Amino acid sequence: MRRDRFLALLRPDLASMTRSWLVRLWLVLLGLSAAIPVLAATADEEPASEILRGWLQVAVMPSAIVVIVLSAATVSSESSVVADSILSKAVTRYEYILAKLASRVITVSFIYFVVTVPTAYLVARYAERDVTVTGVVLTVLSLGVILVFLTTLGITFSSFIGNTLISIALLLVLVSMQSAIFQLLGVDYLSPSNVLDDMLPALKGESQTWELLQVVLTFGLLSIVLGGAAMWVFAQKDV
Amino acid sequence: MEAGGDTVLVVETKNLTKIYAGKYIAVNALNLQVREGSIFGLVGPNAAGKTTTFKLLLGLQKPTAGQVRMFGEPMTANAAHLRERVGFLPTNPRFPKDLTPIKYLSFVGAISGLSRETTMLRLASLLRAVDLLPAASQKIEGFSTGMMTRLGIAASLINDPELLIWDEPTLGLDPAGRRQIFDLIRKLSAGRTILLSTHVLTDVERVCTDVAILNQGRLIFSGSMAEMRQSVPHHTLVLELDGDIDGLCERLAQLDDRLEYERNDNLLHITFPRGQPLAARLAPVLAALRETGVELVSINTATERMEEAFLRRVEEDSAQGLARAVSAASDEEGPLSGPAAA
Repeated sequence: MRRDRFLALLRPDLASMTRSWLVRLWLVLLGLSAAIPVLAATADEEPASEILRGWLQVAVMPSAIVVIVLSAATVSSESSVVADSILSKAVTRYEYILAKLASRVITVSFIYFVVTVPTAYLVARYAERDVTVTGVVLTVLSLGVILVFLTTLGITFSSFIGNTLISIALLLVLVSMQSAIFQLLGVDYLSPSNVLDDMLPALKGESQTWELLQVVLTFGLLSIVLGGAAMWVFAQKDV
Repeated sequence: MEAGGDTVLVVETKNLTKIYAGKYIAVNALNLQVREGSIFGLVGPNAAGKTTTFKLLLGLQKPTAGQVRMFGEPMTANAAHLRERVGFLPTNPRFPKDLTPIKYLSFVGAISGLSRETTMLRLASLLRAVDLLPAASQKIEGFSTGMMTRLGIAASLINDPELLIWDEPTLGLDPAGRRQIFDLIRKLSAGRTILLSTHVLTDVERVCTDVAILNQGRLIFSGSMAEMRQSVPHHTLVLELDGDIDGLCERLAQLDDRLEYERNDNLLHITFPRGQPLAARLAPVLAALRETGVELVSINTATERMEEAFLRRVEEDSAQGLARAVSAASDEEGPLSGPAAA
């Protein structure tokens, strides 16, 4: 992996992410929605845990859909030009797909954390404080890692399937069935819907720290494995 | 990699085969050898396998069987160090539509490992050379086919490659543009190897030193242009005349009744069998011109010669029928030798 070629691929892709209307819309809507919990916190009517839970549950689902659309189009949207204009040049398939992964993960993480972290801080600061720092950090981190996992899953599908619409449809089906899938695997406590449902005790610090860490580590590891799978699959494909 | 003697091969394939979805054989046991410093023309009709061959050479597609070696090393999807030495022009090239030529060439320079300064210097001179300076800041989205081809040429040259692989480089260009491409190919060939594909035989005849013919994915001829021309059993000259051409034809018939010619308005196509000195056969024609007072405006070789050689090869290949299977099975190197082995 050559750093200069990787960066040469990463920079224009990050630039295209900043120009994307979908990314800009997501940032604006997420940012505007963050005003609601902050205002609720200053009204001092509900405890911080309830305010944060309510906002995170409402904010994460639409964010997941944006992430699915962004990631599922990663490879397939460029399929008509990637061979002629990029892969026929002095770059490896690994450098190309790693740059795509990095660009999307950076974009998703940046938007999510740049809105969520200040919002969580302000809510904890001004509302009736019934949350712990560890609880807030781990909860916000868990949901962020789940979004990163979704990003790498979308890119992997995009590498396998090569059709944006089919990738989006399959991802939506998977997301809707995720709790059943995790239950089948015997690890339903790791499912994103379980994380969302159990947010209240987690924010209050009443959940086991190790359980929350397991979510972070599992989805973090799965993201790395999926990223590797995407790189391997793409390297085998005809373009 | 050496094929024999001092000949260095830049590109070599061994039984290169590509079968799509287990159904369509696009490239069939191709044994190609491209000498260093040659201008190699890959000729064939549409769907002969030329573009697929180039994609296999560049590692953009994986062979179903066989090998590709470039600069002596195996080519793979991740052999970026080999593609660094290659400039590729695809047929009907497609580029990111939201970029301008300047941005796209900057990007290509960056992924080719060039410094920003070098990239900027080269892209400026290349855009001027391909006549895209007026459109340098326009989005590629609105470009014509010819403009895309010219941008593709610029992109293929930005890393100053040792090997140029150009797929149908004259596609979409007007006659002036085509002539510029041929002039460019001749200039670029100094110190470089050029591999180009075309289905226009006159293009090959104008610039190439070596030629290979593909038909239905199979190599049916590979050799020098001289060898290709030798396969045509006769010379054909085209004389452009002004004057009493009817009188000239009568005089020619008196001088040599074996002379074969065909008149097309003010053009006279004269065919001479090979094996006899052309100057000796031409002498009576020139004498007849003097006697009849017909003016010779121009004299050229006929383009049909190359087409005839091409069609003859295709017909011979088809006529072999089942014998091709025997020769393919018994001859590990493939049915015909390349220029290096010759």
